[in-house]
Amino acid sequence: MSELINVSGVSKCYSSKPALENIFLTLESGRITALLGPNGSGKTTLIKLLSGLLTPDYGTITINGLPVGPETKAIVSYLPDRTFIPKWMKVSDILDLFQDFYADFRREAAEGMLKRLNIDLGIKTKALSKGNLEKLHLVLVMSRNAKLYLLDEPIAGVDPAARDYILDTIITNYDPSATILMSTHLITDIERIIDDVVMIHDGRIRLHGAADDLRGQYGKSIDEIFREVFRC
Amino acid sequence: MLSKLLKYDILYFFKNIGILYIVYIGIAAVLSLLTLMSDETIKHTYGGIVFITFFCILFILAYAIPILVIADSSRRFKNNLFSDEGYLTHTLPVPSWQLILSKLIASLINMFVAYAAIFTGVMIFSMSKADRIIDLNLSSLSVGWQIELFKENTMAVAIIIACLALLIMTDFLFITIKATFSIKGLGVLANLGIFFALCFILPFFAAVCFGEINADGWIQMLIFTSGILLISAGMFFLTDLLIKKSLNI
Repeated sequence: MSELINVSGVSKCYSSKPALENIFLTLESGRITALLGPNGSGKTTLIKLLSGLLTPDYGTITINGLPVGPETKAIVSYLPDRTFIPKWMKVSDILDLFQDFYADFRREAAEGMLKRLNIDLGIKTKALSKGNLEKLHLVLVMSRNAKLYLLDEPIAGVDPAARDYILDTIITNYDPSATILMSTHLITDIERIIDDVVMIHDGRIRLHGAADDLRGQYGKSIDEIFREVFRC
Repeated sequence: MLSKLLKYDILYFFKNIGILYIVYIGIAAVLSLLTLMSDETIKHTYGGIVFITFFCILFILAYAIPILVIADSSRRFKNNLFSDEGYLTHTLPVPSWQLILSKLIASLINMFVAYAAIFTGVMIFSMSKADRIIDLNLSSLSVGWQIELFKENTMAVAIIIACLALLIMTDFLFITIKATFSIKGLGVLANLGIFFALCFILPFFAAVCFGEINADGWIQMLIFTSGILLISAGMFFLTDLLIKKSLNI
């Protein structure tokens, strides 16, 4: 396994409020990492910095040895916590767009998944239900052969059946040599699939390690460790 | 990658405003057909009212289309870069300057398509027999006359293109400042400025240029055009810098 993400001394402020303070983090390829923390802890800010949506105030970030930029965006597949698909597009248009811009996009895989979900390629995205729109986002993101998947709250706000579908889609569609960094509050649902855990609070990393090591060290599940670390 | 960005920006404009051009040209065609009505129909029935109504719609649309194009360019820029759509736009493997340039070029292309549609409508109407109904010197609006006008005033056309680039970049920069520094109201102010410029300054400026440019003044006009383009380029780089350093979506 090789180092894929290196975050070194990164800080980010919104106005004068610090969102991340002097973060150091290294993630290796081929691992599924859960990014855990209470609301406002800095999870989304860290993911946005890795995706290139935000620029750090201090510190450096490299992905696959490259500073964040167009080259890293080509190997990072990002699922934000909101709808990014333009409403004026048809489903087929957004597939065309992904095919045009991402060399690693697997169109056949995307069309296959959409067919199984009964999502018509000719339908306008604004006509899709909220559930189907979320599934379309997931299909687009997981149909890429990316080196790094950044998934921001992929199972938040969906019913348990949909959660299972999303997690199964993630597990069955990613290249095992790729890395997944997934933020969530729903630890129980993801506990079975994670390799590593990063717990973040008030913009600082509180705990980082392999999930099995942490379970052995604390004698508890990750969910119970989370509750202990972030007890109010 | 710029060509791919341009493809989607142009596709957006076509899907949003394309129908308006077709409607405009359609109205011009209907109006031309109405001029074939007999004098009796025009004077003693509702024919005249229908003709004037269609004429007014054509006139209003001819003014409204360029304004709608600018408004749509602003909306596209704002939504694509600073709303939820930005989560996709800014994670595409392209440098930020290409995102801005693509929208600038697409807006200019859309503006020219809009003017082409307006001129087509005017030409269709000028070929009709409307002269006998309303007192307009339509023969002066012939295709040949319009082509000659552009041939004789290439510098004026260059100035208009430069002015359009400046207008669009001003709008883009204001939207970027508003989005990156979370300033309220500047977007409305910017759009009002663009509206004012488009409705009053640009036609006035174009008229002055068309009327006064001669062979002796082209160097001054060339310097003036270069100046406008330089300011536009400055705004372009400032917009790019703000997006690179202070993007906040």
